[in-house]
Amino acid sequence: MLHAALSLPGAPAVMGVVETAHAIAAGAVRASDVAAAALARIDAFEGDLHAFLHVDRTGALAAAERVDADRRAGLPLGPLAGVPVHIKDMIAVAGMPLTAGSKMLAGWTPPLDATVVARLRAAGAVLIGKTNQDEFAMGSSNENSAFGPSRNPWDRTRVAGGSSGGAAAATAAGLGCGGLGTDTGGSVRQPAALCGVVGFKPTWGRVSRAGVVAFASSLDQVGTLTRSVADAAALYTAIAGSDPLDATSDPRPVADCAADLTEAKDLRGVRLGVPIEYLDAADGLDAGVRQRIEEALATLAQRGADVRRVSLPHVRFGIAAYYLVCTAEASANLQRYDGVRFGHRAALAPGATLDSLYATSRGEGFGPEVKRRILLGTFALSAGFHDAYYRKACQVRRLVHDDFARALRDCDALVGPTSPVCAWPLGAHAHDPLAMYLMDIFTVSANLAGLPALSVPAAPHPASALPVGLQFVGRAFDEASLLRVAHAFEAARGPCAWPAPAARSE
Amino acid sequence: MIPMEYLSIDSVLHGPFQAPSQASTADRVAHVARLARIELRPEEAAMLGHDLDRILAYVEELRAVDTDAVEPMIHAGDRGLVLRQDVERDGLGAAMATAGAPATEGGAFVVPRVIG
Repeated sequence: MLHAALSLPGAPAVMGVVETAHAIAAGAVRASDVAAAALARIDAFEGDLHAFLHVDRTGALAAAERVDADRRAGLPLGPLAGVPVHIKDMIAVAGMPLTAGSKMLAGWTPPLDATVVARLRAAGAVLIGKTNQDEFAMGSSNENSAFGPSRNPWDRTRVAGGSSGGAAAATAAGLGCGGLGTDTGGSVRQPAALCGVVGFKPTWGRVSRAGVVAFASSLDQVGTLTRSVADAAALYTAIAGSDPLDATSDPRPVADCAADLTEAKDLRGVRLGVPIEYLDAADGLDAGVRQRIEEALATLAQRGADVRRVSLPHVRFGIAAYYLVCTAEASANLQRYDGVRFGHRAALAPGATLDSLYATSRGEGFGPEVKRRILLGTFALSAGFHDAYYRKACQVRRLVHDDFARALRDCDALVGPTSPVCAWPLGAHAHDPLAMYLMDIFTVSANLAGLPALSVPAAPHPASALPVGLQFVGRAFDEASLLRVAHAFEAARGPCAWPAPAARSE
Repeated sequence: MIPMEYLSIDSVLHGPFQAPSQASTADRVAHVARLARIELRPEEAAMLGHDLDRILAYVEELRAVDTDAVEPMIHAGDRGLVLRQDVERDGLGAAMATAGAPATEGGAFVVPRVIG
């Protein structure tokens, strides 16, 4: 099994979302034992991984005991009853501190649950804690967390990816069955690829953002990090669907994707497009990653898929367009951190004004990458530069969107690498923001186009044995097809022989 | 410290700032930091100015894309403007809304004196 290497003496083996839910519903294991085992694993691995910013021991055990009591009383159990899950620190959980990885919000506790959290609770899930992330989800390595980076469970000298690096590391190490992240330009899929787990970003509008810290509202989407595609479908089905508290959430009905994945189907009649810009003509794509992706394409073809080359001529401009759009939106969204209503407030100097309170509070509270992006976005929106920067980026975004729309007329999904490289050593790009931005080259376009996308582990890198992620991008609001294709690939790939994480850090 | 002066909206919008080709890196950073209400230490301003120059040079590649007659795409939604029923619902209430604020008094947020 994928994670057998991470076993802890005396503790039950790590189980996924679906497996755990079934075992608890069948009475094979008690929810309180599952929660206690998850907390014991956190105790064993958290010191090395720093995947969490907050662990809610008491709340998790109490929630699990309620599930056991309900089961004893013969009450109906939710589809995720007793499943321990973690929540990225961008997402509000009432009663748990929320920092979004920033000193700006240190010590703040939100008064309400995000809609996605309320839905997980309603489904019976046990919330174990808040996962580490880059500050305000701005980063691709977790090194922008104000509280120190998460480390990669497969090699703790390497990054976990970002921004949902804590969620990916926790999921890979079996600290809970899976969890929620947010994906603005790849922040669920890229860390999933680097940590060897499944990262799923649904269509923009499919999942409510009410109660989620806003970074770039036209791009942000809540997604899942799990150890299998079926687990992704189970969490997704629990959180998806329209929400009166989020006007951007979409009213289209949500298929029960979890029920759809009970058996792996072959891929006969499925047309998969490989963007030449993501493989054949991709600059900076690691040779070992390329090899594993090409092998994965062969596997898909063996399963009956019609694998063909397509072209997305404008995606090479995706990074530039993305980093203008997301920073422009961030500069507006992050205006709310003003030292008045919540978060860090600077000490008032004599003669302080409201303006100087804003400026000093923000100067003290935000870290360097957040300042960099707010300044870039402010510039892109400023008088005299709006048309040349922000508007131009939105026009290029339209062309990227139209490239995908054209390709997805003739293909059921697109497929290629998630990240051009495997997890890199901590610190390798920490002082070069542009090099870090280029790590998102294959993921940002799905956000620009608003499309659902998923990263699933391919075979590990031939030289380093580090995880490699295979990315699928599907049609808007057709998550069901995307999950079916990824599920078929996962079954064809078979279990991966991953290295034991504990053996790699010495 | 970069001086933080906010004389008027007009001075912010039409301040002593020129096009990027003419403006110095330091002027550009000082201008946008003022607009964004972020106080920067001098060494921080120098670092961020250097980074912004590099990033803006990179995004120049967008100029090569022919976008004549291309409608800007602001988001991926296809439903136009969404309205909800104008019905009353409970808010947080003053106590809960101010519970996480750094300075409060009598259920209100405390700020420096705004009106003289």
